[in-house]
Amino acid sequence: MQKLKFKQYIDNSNVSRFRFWVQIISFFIFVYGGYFFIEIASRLPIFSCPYVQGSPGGCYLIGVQHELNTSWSSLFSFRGLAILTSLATFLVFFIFLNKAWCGFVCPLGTLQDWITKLRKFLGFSFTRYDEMSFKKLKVIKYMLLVLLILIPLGIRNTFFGIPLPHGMHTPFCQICPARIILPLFTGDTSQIFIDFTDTTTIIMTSLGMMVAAIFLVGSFVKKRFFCFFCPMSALHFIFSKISLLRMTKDGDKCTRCGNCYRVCDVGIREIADDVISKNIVKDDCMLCVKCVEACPEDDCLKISFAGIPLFNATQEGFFKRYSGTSLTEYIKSIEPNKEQEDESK
Amino acid sequence: MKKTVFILIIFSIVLTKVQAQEVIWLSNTPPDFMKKQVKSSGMHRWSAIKQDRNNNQYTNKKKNYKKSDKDSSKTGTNNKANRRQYYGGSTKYVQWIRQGSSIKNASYICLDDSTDYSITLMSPVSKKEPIELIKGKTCYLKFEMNEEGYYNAYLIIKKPVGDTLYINIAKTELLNHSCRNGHHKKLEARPVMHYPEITDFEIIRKRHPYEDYHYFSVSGGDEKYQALFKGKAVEGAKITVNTQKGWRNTVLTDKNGEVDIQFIQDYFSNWQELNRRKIHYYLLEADYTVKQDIEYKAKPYHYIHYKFTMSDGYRPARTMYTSMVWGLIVFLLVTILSISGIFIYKERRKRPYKELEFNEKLKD
Repeated sequence: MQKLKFKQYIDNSNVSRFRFWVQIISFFIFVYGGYFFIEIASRLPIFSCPYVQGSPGGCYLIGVQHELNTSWSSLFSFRGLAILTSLATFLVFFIFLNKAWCGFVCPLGTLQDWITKLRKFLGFSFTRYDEMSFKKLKVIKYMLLVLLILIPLGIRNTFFGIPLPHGMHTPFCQICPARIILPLFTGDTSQIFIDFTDTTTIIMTSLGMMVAAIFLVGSFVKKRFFCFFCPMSALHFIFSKISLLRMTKDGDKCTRCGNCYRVCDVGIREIADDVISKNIVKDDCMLCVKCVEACPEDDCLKISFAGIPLFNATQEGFFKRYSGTSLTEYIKSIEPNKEQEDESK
Repeated sequence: MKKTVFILIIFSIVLTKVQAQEVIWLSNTPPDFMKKQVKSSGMHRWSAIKQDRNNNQYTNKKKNYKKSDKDSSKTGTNNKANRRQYYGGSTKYVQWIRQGSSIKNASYICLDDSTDYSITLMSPVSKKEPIELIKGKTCYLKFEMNEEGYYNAYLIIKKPVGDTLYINIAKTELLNHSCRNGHHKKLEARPVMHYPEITDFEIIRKRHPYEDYHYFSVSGGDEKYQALFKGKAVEGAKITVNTQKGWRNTVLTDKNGEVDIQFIQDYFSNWQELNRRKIHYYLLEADYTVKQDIEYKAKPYHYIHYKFTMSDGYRPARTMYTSMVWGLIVFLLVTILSISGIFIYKERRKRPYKELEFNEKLKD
């Protein structure tokens, strides 16, 4: 009975508020943690950027780019084991939170949410991609993921006889907005530069500056603007099925009201339309749980960890979150007054 | 207990041996406890103890200028020299003695009476000038530089270890030039002076063809050094460069005894640190061993090992500031363009309000 009450309390709770505080704490840890001697790991599934002086860890993408900057012979020797070890480290972290790393922990994601809050405060309207653009643009993150793997390999080896310049050693980091924007929070402006060493570095660092500027403007008009193009998100999706944290949908209970789609920051249409798939975590999803909160059907959307239900969509929870009252109170408030009814008779 | 004492003795012997070979060099930067007493000045930021700078020269500057100029016009002499007399003497420059290869962590040491050392100062015209060793909590060399040009200061320490005589030559090459003294001399670099009569082994910095008194090494720039033994070029001498940021590189001299060293800057400064005149220090170490039977303090030695050190500074490359400015320009430009693009896109999507009227009569 106690257990059921606790579950009811969780299902009725406001996870977005909880997420807001988790994001603040995570941002503080992953930007300033190093100043407090916090050291986590160097292969994290979020943009814990090593260019930030106070970073307590490192993003997996910078590690993998460095590791792949090697010859074929090294790749298939003991160095290959090191690459597998770092992938295993990434997976050890990833397996617990799945894509919730993006929705709850990633400092760059948090920053985008804060920019969205600022936009709301200033009263500007936001934009969504239409369905065609959505389908076309979502491919970009996979392209970036493939490139960040192939380019470092192409520096030490040649693809089709074309050697790639060393200036592209960490191609994604050079264009990643986290490298430029996150150090600003520690008062470090040293990443704002164009590297004139050679043509490649000029192009790459210029692209970096452009992407940083587009990131700021884009996040202002589109919720989670950058997450849509993030290669880390693509990498997460590859391993999403082995994760312990899952989001499932019971299509039979779905009435296709579209609430989940309307609250989705990224704008995933399948969350509302797909009534067949059980695992509903899509490649652009960041497991922010807003859709579960907005679902008014009992147990239609569920969040579970290793099979243990954590947070379920309930009618009661939906009403409590959105009307501020419980379902019974709400029904009472809309029911016609009996006395009035009698009088009218 | 006996074992511990034995290990301690062995450890202390090893430590003394290691210390015997620890590099000693002359540094321009004061220890932390003396920073308030020291004033850095001039183009090359040479250090001087504040109390050794004659303050009268500043208080009665205008008065003394006029007086000195008046006298010089009477006597027909160079008024610069006169001015210095009226000011109450020259500034005394200092160089601290430090031990250890790391510029950041090298300790400030003092030489005790048992150390066999000699100090020499050579003027730009190869004349021996007075130089003194001030002893205290730390030791430093104090000297005046009255002539315009490069001064060479040497601290030579001899220490025998085993069958080898270790000679640590700490050299500093200081350019005395101030634009306030005018440019009556041609702005051309003086020839590099080396003194085999003072030290057998020496490293000299070769001058650039375009070098003048306003020249300063910058990060990314190439510097050429030459190793000389008894005035002749030495091939295969090991030269190591250590920078303030911890970058370290070892190279061997070529047939002409020369090495090319490029000071790298492996970081971009903060915008808050924008200072074109900020000096990053470097330390040059050179090792050269000669098989030679010699007698030192009535004892025979079979080898002489020369450990040569020289420290100087380099400024940030100008291109760094260009990089940063361009970075900011690209960032701002793209931001403005993106905002404008979004605004125009939104404006164009706005459809003008059209009122639809249904005429009911027409329907009938």
